[in-house]
Amino acid sequence: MTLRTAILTGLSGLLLLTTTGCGDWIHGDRPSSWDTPPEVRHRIGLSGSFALLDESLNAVHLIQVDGSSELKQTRRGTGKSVVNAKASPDGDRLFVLTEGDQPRRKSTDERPALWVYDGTGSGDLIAKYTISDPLSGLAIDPEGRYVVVYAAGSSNAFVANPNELVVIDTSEPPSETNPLPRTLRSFGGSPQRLTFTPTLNLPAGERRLLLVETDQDLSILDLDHLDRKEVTVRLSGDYKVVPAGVVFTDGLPSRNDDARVAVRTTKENSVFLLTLVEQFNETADNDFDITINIIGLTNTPSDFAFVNTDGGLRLAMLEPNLRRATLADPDTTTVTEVDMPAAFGRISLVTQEVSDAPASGSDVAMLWGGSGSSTSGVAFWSLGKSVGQAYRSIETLPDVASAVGEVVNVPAPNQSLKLLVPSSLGSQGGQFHVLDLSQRTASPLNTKASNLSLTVSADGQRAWFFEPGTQDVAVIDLVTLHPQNLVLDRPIWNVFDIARSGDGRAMVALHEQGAIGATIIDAFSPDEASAVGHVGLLQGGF
Amino acid sequence: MRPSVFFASAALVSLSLVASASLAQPTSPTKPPDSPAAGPTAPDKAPAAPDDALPPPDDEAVAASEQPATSPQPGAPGPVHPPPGSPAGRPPTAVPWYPAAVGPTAQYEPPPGEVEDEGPSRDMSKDFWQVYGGVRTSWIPSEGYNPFDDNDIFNQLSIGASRALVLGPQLSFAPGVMWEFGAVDAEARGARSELIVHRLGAVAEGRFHLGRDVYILAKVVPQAVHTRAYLSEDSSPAQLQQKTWRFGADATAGAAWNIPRSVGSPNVIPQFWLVGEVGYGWTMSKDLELTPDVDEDDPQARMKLNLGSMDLSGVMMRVNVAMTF
Repeated sequence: MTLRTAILTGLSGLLLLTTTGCGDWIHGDRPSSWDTPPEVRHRIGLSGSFALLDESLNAVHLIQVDGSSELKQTRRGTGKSVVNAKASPDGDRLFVLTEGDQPRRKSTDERPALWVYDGTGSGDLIAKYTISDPLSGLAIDPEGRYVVVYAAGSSNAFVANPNELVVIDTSEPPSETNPLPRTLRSFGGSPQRLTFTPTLNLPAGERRLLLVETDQDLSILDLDHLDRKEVTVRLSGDYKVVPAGVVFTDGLPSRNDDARVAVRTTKENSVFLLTLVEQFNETADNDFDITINIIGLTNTPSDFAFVNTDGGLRLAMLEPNLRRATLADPDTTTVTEVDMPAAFGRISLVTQEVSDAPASGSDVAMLWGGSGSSTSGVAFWSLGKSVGQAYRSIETLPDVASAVGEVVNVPAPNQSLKLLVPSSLGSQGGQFHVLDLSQRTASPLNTKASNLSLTVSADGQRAWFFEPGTQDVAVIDLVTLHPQNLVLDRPIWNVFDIARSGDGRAMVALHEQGAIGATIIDAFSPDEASAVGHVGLLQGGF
Repeated sequence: MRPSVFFASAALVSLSLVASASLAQPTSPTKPPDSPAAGPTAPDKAPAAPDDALPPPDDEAVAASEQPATSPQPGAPGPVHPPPGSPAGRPPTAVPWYPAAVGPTAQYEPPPGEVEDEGPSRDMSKDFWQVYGGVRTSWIPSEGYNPFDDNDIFNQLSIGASRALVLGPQLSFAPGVMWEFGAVDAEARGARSELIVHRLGAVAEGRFHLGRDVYILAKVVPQAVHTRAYLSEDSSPAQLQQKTWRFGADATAGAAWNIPRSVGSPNVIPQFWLVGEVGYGWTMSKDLELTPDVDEDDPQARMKLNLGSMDLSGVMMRVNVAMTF
C-alpha cells in the first residue's frame, strides 16, 4: 500500500464515520440510570439524616445537612422491589425490606432481604439479613433490637405461609439462626398486628414477649427463647372474634406472677384477661403458663389500659357512646363503673407527665373522644379517688371545645406537653391545642388549613405544621408557644426536623416534583430569608 | 447529537464534493491527448507539459525545426502556421507540427481561437488561501456530559479559514481561525436537557506536501470554549442553566486530498480538497453547577445543582471540505 493509498483509505474511513453518525460500537452509551425517572414512595426522616428510596435505581439516598445547610448525599444500593421501609424508634437506623428477584432464575438472583442503614449521618449499610421468602410486613421493636418480618396483605407467591414470622435480632450479625423463621400454629388466622413488650418479670425469670394478634386469636412468643413454641390463645370457638388491641402490665414489682395481657376484640362485649403464671407442666414448651378470665361489658370496648388505683391494679375500659368507664379487678374480675361527664373513647396514662400525681402511686389518665368521635374536650381521671370517691375523680378541661382525634406526644424535656389534633378540620380550618399537663392548660392555636400534618422535633422543642401540597409551614416553639409562619417557594410534601452533621438542627421540607427538591431552614432560628434551597436531589451522581 | 447539526454538516460535505466535481472539466491543458491523431491543427491537443517539464531550448529556431514545443513558453513565440496549399503545410504525420521561426521579422501571432490558458499565478498546491467547513466529531467520556446525550459522541459544525504564509519546497505553515458549533439534547431522569458548545480557535497548521494534490497536516488549535447547559428540572423554580467559558486546545494530524484535480479537473481557482484529521481535543474541566434562570438578586439564584465535573476532552476527528484560492 502506497502512502497515497493509505491516506485515501483513511480519508474515506473518516468520511464514512462522519456521514453515518458513527457506528454503535463506538458510541459509548451513558449509564441507563440517566434514562430512568426517579420513583420515590418512601421518604423517611432519621435522627441525623433523611432517606429517599429511589426504587427505579434500587438505591437509598441518605442525606445529611451540614452547618451551612448544604447537603451531603450518600447513595447506597438496596435490594430490588422495596415492599416496606421504616425508621428505628430513635431514628438511628433505617430498615428497608425488599423482595429481590422474583422468581429467581439464577443462583445469582437476589433473595429477599432486610437492609439496615445507619441513620445518624454516615448512611453506611450496617447489615443485610437475607430471608427465604418475600414478605411485606415489618414490625419494629420499640427498644430497637428486634425486627419481625411477616406476611401482610395478599401475596403473589404460588404458595405462601401467612403464619410465618421471621424474627431478626438486629443487635447480632447475620447467621444461620438470625434471621429465624417461625411459623405460628394456626387455627385459621394470620398475623395482623405485632406488639413487643418490655421486659416482664415472669415466674421463670425476666422475659420479653411478642404478642401476635391474628384475625381470630392471640399468640405469645418468648423473644428470649425463640427456639420454644409460641402459646396461642383461642378467643372463641367459632372464629368470629377478631382481636382489636392488646395492653399489658408487669404488675407489682414485688410479684412475678401478676404480669398480665388484656385483649379486646371487635365483636365481643368483653375483654380477655390473660395472666402469665408459673408453669407446672414439665413437658410444656414454655416456662410460663396462662390463665384466662373474661370480663363482661355492655358494649365492645373502644380502648382500655391497666391502671393503678387507690384500690390496686385495675383494667380501665371505655365503651363507645357511654358516659362511663369500667374498672375491673384483674384478680377477681369484679368491676366498678365510674360515671364520666362525656362519652370518651380513648384513654392514656399521663402519670409521669402531670405535676399533681397522687402520692399513693395511683395513676392519672387522660381521656378524649378519639378519631370519629363527636365527644369534645379532654378530661383527667385521677385514679387515686376512683374507687372510693369516683364522682370527684374527673376533671374536664374547659379550654378544649372541639373533638380531639389524636394526641401527639412530645419528647423530653417537654414530655408534659401533648398536641391535641382535632378529629377533623373544616374547609376554613380549625383549632388545635397544646396541652400542658403540668399546668393542666390547653392553649389553642388556630389554623386555616383543612388538612394538617405535623412533625415534632426529637429534642422536644418545636412542632412543625404544614398542609401537604401547599407552600405554608409553621413552627411552634413548644416552650413559648410562639408560632412562626413561613411561606416556601415550592409546595411541601414532607417536613423533617433532623440533627445537622455539626451542631444544631435543621428543618427539611421536601418538594416532590421532578427529582425531588428540598428547602433547609435552621430549626433554632427559622427564617425564610435564610432558607437554602436544593433541587434535583436524585439527579446525577452515576 | 443534534440531528440538524449533523445533517447540515454532512450535507455541506456532500454538496461541496458535488460542486467540486461539477467544476471538473473534461478538456484540460494538463490532460494527455486521447490520441495522437487528434488533427493537424490541434495544438490544444498537444501533450501537456508535466510539472517537471524541460526548460525551453536555448536556440528556439533549432528547437522549433526539430520538434515543436509542446506548449508555449512565456515570452517565446508561438507556432507559425504554414501558408495554405504549401507542401510544407501538410504535416507528414499526425504529430502536431510547428514550422521554424524565420528571423526576428517573423513575428509570432497566435492562431485565432488559441489564447494562452491563464492558469494560477501561484503554486496552488500549497500557496493558497483556504476556507473550509465540515464536521467535528468528539468522543467525550466525561460523566458530566452524560445528562445531555445518551452516548459519548458530540458532533459540531466546523468552519474555518487559513492562509499559507511560510512556504518551503515541501513544507508550508498556515495560520488561521476556526469556529465550531454544536448542540445536543436529551432527557436526564425525565428532565429535558440541552448542551450548546461554541469553540473559537486560532489555528496553527503545518503541511507536508506529497506532490501537487495531497498533503498531510498537523494542526494545533488553542481555543476559547463557551458552553451553555440547560436542565428543565421540575423541582427547580425555573430552568436550570450554566453558561461558562473555558480554555481548550486540539491537536490533530491528518491529510488533505484534492480529489477533483486528481481525477482530471482543471487547475483553476478555486480548488476543492477533502480534509480529514484525527487527534485529541482537550478542554478544561469545570464543575457542572446549574442554577435557576432567575435574577441574580433573587434568593432562588442561590440554588444549585452540581452534576459533577464536565470536560469536553476526548478523541476527536474532523472531516472538512476545503476550498482553496
